[in-house]
Amino acid sequence: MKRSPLTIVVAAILILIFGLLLFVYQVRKSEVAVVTLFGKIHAVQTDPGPGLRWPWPIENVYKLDQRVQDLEGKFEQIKLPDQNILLLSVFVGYRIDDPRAFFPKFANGSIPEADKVLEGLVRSAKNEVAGQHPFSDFVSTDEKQMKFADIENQILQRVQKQVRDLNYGIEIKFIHIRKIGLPESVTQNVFDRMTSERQFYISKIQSQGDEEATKIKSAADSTAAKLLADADAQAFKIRGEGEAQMMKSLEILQQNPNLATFNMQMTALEALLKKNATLVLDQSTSPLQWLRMNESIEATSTNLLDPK
Amino acid sequence: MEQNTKKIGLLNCIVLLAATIGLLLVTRFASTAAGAMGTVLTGFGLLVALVSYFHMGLLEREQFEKMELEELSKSRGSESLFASAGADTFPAKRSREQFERFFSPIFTALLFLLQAAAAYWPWEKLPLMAPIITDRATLAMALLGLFGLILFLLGKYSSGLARLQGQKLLRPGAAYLLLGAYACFAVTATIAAVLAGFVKTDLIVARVLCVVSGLAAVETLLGLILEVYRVRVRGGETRLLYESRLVGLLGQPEAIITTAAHAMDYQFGFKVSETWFYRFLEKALGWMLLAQFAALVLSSCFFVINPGDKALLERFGRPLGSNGVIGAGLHFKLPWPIDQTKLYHTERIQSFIVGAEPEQGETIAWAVSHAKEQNFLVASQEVNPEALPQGAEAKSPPVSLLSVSIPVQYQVTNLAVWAYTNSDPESLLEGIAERSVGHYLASADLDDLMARGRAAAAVALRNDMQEQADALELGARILFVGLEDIHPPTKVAKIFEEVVGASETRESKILQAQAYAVSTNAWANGESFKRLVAAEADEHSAITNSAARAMLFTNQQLAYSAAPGAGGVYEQHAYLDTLTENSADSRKYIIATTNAPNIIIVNLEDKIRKDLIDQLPAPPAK
Repeated sequence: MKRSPLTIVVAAILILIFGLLLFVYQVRKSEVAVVTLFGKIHAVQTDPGPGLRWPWPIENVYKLDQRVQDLEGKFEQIKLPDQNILLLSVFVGYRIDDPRAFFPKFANGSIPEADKVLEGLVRSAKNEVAGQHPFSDFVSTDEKQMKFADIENQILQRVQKQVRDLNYGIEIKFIHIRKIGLPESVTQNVFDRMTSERQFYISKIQSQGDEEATKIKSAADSTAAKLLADADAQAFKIRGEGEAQMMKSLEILQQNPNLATFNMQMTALEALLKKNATLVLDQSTSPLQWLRMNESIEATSTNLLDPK
Repeated sequence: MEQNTKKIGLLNCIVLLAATIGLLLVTRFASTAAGAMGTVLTGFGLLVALVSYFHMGLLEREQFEKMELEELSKSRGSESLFASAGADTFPAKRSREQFERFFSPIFTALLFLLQAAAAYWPWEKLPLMAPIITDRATLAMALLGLFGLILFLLGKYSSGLARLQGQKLLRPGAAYLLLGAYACFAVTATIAAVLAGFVKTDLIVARVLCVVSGLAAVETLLGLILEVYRVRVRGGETRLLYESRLVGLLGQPEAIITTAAHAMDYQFGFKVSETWFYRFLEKALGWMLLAQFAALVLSSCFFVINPGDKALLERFGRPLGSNGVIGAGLHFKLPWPIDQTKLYHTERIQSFIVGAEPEQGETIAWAVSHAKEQNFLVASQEVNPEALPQGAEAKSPPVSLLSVSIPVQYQVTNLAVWAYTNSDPESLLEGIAERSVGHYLASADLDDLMARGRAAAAVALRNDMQEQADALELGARILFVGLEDIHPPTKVAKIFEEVVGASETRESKILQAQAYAVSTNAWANGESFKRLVAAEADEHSAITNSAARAMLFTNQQLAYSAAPGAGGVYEQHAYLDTLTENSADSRKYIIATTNAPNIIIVNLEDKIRKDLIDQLPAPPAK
């Protein structure tokens, strides 16, 4: 029976492909391969590259990711020794360091299975450690008082010890606190406190404004008063100097005191009469005495004014 | 119609029924999505085989009827008696014709609806199925292998019988038997792949079977439409409407060319398969396809990396060169699965946001919600620490909440470290960033952070993130941490704005006071100047007046000495002169003595006192 060359070529390609798939496996740099022979771990290949195997079901090849796995814990409520409540979540980095120990313990090396188991351990350690620290170890304006790193370290040590003791084949690389928060019911109280705090600041600022304004006004008034007082003092001094100069002329006046007195009286009279003065004069006032000496003329005048 | 053929048709129906039930049970037993779709396809096969079997019965009856009539006509010796016989003379033939005219298209239309539903409905529902129960996988694989083997053997036998004996009614059932067999093998392989760790294979295979059902539906619909426009040749063979060429192809891949030729011959009404082009195609198609495949494989050996990107090249999983990193340019690699590459955007600035993802909008105001808020705890200073009683027990520090949306930008600097050290470096970097932000805020003072501390906080956060990233061997560089969008939560944002308002009021009051101070000081300066000037004027006046008076006095003395003494002429002159000059504008009342006989009134006209007029206020300006 004559075979078509095409059939032979295709068959050869298919045999090659299936042969490779059945008998060869490859391990990437990020992986580690666990080879089982009839269900028992037969070999572990940690170096990257190809490997030979017997086809299923004789040998099975399980490839495990040997890079650092990132496990995110739950955001969980914890009671603190100072009666505070805190929500806390951590993230964990771990890697498979012993595939032979890891493989049978986690459903043929299942990372999700390992995550589940590890999450329980981390959660327990986290609650235990965090429950021993007061609130100020987590939140404080004084950075020296905060113990974030200590808490993370304590959780890490506990989990590392458990993982080592139980021989999980895992190395815990780090445990970090990812987030801290407060329960929803407490959040409203925090908002109330924040509101009160701001009200305090508003009052404080407004009072500061009043205080400052009053200070400025008072200082201005004081400065003005001082300036005026200084000016008055200066004015008095100047006037005094003027009067002192004026005294020299008094010596001349003293040569004829009667005349000087008379002049001063006239000056005073002049000043008195200057504006809005009303004079009530009787006939004895000079020169009104002259009115009495001319009575006949006065009588005529009176008669003329009388209507009868 | 041979009796044997009908028996095979019945056997096909029974086996397909058993396989459908068996697949259904195995699907439920092992919870496999691919198995569910295999059950559906086998179920279609059962329906088609049943209709096909019914069709066989009608044809058999027609043949018997024809034979009986031929016998009868021979015994009567006259054919003319039946030559013009009506339709009532051939009830079996009429039944078959009625079946092909009405039942067959209706069934085909129904089959189309079922195939379309089987393609559409499970597409969304299959991912919701529980994963394969690995504990039951071995038994399920064994049973499926058995079903597949039985279906394959019977399918091959039926298809061979149909081809050799020209029993076209066996073809549809045979094709579905083979399709069912391949479906069983595929489901078996799928379960094996899931056991090997390729969990998604189940869903992928199930969806491939969905696509098969969808293609079969399209083909069925096209068959129905083309049947209307088909060129009909008297005495020509009619095609079974419910027979799927696609299923036949999948069941017998080697028959692809033959089926295509038959389809074209049937559709165009002449032997397309006898043309030179068809002959050439028949011979060369295999090589052409192989050449295509080879070209495809060869093309996958060359790849181009764009500027700004890098790739990891692995041979049998081992990085090539020192760390497997290759840069921009044209590169060669061996075909999959020997060499594998993975591309990364190393130069590209990548970013993520810690906290809330801001929504699109022109304005971002604290008091207006612009994102689903994510609040972080922030420490607060005691508002009034002096108010605490001395020696009071240390209490928990007051806390505030801050809505945060911090963009973090980074670049991959060491690709080998980035790709090979951590399984999910992006997620790890986000965790680091969130931790840094949470840690920093927990020790920062809210007011300080929102005012002067932003720039310092951004620098501190970037340094901390970089330190952590280096410690965890991420191979990334933190380029930027932005603290623009941190503000009090929306619920309390208004009161924070009021604080700003209070500050403005304070400034306003201070400015008003400063304005008062400026005005008061200026007035005081002016007033003091005025007073000094007045004093100087007074001084000057006093000095000059006194000098003038002295000179005047000296002269007056001469006049006075001429008529000295009180009541002297000088004094009288001076007195009267002063009186008349200065009392001109004054009102004067002269009171006569009580013993005087006449009263002299001078100027009795009404006259408003000038001093009163002076007191009146001026009329307001209009």
